Amino acid sequence: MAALSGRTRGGAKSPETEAPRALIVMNETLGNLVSLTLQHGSYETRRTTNPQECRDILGDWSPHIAFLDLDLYEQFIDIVGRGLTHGHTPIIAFTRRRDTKLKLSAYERGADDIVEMPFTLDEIVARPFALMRRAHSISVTIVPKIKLDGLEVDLIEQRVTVGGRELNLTPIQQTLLYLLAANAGKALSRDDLLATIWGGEFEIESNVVDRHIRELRVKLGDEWRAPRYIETVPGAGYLFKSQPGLSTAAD
Amino acid sequence: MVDQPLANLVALTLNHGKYVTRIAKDAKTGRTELASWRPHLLLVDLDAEDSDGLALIGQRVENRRVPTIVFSVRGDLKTKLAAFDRGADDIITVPFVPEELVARTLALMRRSYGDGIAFIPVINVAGLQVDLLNQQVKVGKLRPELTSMEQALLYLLASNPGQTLGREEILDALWGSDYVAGSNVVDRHVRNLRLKLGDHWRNPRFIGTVPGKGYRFLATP
Repeated sequence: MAALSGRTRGGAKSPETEAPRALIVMNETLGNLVSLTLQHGSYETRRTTNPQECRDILGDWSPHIAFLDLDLYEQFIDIVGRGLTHGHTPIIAFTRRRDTKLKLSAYERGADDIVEMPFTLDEIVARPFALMRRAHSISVTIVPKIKLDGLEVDLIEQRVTVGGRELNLTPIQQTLLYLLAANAGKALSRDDLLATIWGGEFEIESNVVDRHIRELRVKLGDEWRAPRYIETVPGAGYLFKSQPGLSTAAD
Repeated sequence: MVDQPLANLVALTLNHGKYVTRIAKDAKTGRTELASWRPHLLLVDLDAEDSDGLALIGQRVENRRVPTIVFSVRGDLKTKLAAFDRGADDIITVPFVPEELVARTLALMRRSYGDGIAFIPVINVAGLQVDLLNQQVKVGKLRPELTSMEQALLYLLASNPGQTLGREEILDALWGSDYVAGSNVVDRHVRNLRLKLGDHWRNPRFIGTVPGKGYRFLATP
């Protein structure tokens, strides 16, 4: 659809400067998180959950790599893995199900790697890094720090700073914060957060989301009555407030 | 290259693929085994105490690359990138469940050696018949269905028969350090597992309680 300039086809050697292209077949909540995390590797991303659009993107844009939610969009594995004229697009599949049969069949159908939920962010940086090397001999430059809405996240050192102050977050808290921030301005329900981070099958105490939010707020110095970052939306869940102007100012 | 309970768990799980395994406790032994025994697959624990494990990755044996899976704790991006950079093929995040190891090993072996790699869904463990694909155990006439975590717990205990594993040790191996301390999740899972195996806590056949210490798999003769 949109005209793309300078795209390279199939076997053509990609110039060093070309950004790796990642196709994301996931719902918005998870897709935004993956997309944001991929900014640590200077990827360009596109997201779709429509089969025709997916074929178009594969044909016009030739992504280097695809991220696919196997539980929700299983049929896409055949579109991405097989339906191409110029070869197979390497796939990283995500699943919440502890199902060996499903995984083995996913590998057979073209998945190159599988990420299990709950995942931590380093997985979504390290696994694509390995796959890009294996499939395209491209060494993706890792951008250790990215800034979003007043937060600075250093994935390699696992450091999150807010206005220059360092927060000491566990991997799960970091994932939760990231998930909220990747969907800034939109309330995410407990169920949505639970399903995205832990998946349905994981045995978990039901208040685990609230507990982690509480701990996260304490670390952010967030007051629940007048929060600066994470707001409670009664009946809807939690919302990360957009912080325009905070991202560069030191004070 | 792994601590003993974990190494035993890995060795037991690999029985699903008819592997012959050797455990090297340090990098030096690992190097010697690589050269003399020439394995088809290398598994390296990057969190082991004496960790020079990274140096083992990417070594060529008789001009052949040894397919390598490394084990690392979650969240450790630096180690993961370094491992991939040196030529590791896959990473398994500790804690893991048995089918994770089986699926990744199988995928890597197929990728490296073609289709001729056997996968054995059912193995016998100390009087139990475990079906990994269908998550089913056969104990005499009982055929309880286990969850992945119950299966992982059973594998961990059964691969270390006669040895007492503490609650913390089990928690670390199966749930990871993110789990809230003081949680009774281990006891709850042991209780469920015993129930499904028809094991009575007063007179257990499979899982014994070691008061004040933890649990022990009873090696059945």
